[in-house]
Amino acid sequence: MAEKKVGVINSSAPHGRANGRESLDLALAMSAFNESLSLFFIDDGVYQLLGRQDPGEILQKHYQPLFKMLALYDVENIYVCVRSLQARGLTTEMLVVEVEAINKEQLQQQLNLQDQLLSF
Amino acid sequence: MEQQKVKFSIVVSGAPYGTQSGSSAYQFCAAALSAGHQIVGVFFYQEGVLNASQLVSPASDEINLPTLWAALAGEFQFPLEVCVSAALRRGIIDQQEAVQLGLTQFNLQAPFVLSGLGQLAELSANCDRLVQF
Amino acid sequence: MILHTVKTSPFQTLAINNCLNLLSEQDSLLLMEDAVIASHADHGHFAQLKLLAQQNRLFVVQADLDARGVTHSIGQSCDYAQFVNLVIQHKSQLAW
Repeated sequence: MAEKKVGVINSSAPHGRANGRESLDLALAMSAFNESLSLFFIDDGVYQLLGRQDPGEILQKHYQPLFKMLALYDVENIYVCVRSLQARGLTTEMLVVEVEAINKEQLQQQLNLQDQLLSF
Repeated sequence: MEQQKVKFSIVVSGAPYGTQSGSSAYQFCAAALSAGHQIVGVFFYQEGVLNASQLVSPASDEINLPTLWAALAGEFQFPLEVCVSAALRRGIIDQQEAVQLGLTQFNLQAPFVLSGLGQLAELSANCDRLVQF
Repeated sequence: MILHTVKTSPFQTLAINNCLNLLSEQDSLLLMEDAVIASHADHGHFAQLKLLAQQNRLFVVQADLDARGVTHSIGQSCDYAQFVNLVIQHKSQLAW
């Protein structure tokens, strides 16, 4: 049986909720068992990848450096919604990991390829 | 496929009280089981881990979701897996963790078990459909 | 072929808006919990939902309507058994 394609969708901003951190924990852990993981950053989720975060002052864990681990764990399919970036005045150069910026149609296509979706 | 027995894995991300998502997940599981389908397992993550607290004590005329989960899992023999890292951060502790952490109390309701995210990978691999609440 | 499930009211969050942004032609939308309100009262995305309903791609959890004392003017109401079947009929589910 072919390995299931699992898509992890991130649509929450960091720190206000633990969604981003717990999604990353999940992705890193699942990558050891599943090589067909894809990560999607849409809506406010794009803020998770925005550099220069300093959440110590708000008593939150600075989990962003862990995004670098994704490459070491061979999680290479990291997609960011172009429209969500544009709506927030952000560009891929401002993000801390290498991503593939995709438009709405590509995003829909990618989501439809996944066998399972987990949303955070 | 509709007539066939389908294997579901369920992810519960919401608390048993304060949001409806624990109840929705429970009702989905009950409906799937009564239609003859199989629940491979339920994975409790994020605030969902609070579904596993033995100390949930609603008024007598209210639903006790941890008890309902325990009964359903007992009747249909599927595991209730609670993400250990999400649980410890939210004060859901089993006896073994309590001993290791030097805590005097533990509160995990049987038959919920603490397990790692690897278990979720297993539930994901072994089901026909993954549903998140 | 995704079954999108939304659980928050369009008057409260952008979940329905964001979901509709990514909904593909073969996808369906199930309104549950507070989101059932979207099948009852007029809001910014009501026309879009109505179109989905005409294509038999909009579903509303009846128990959630009953619980809130509201009736749906668009979409097909469903019970949990039908919810289970909808999940089976779609390739995946996306919870918003």
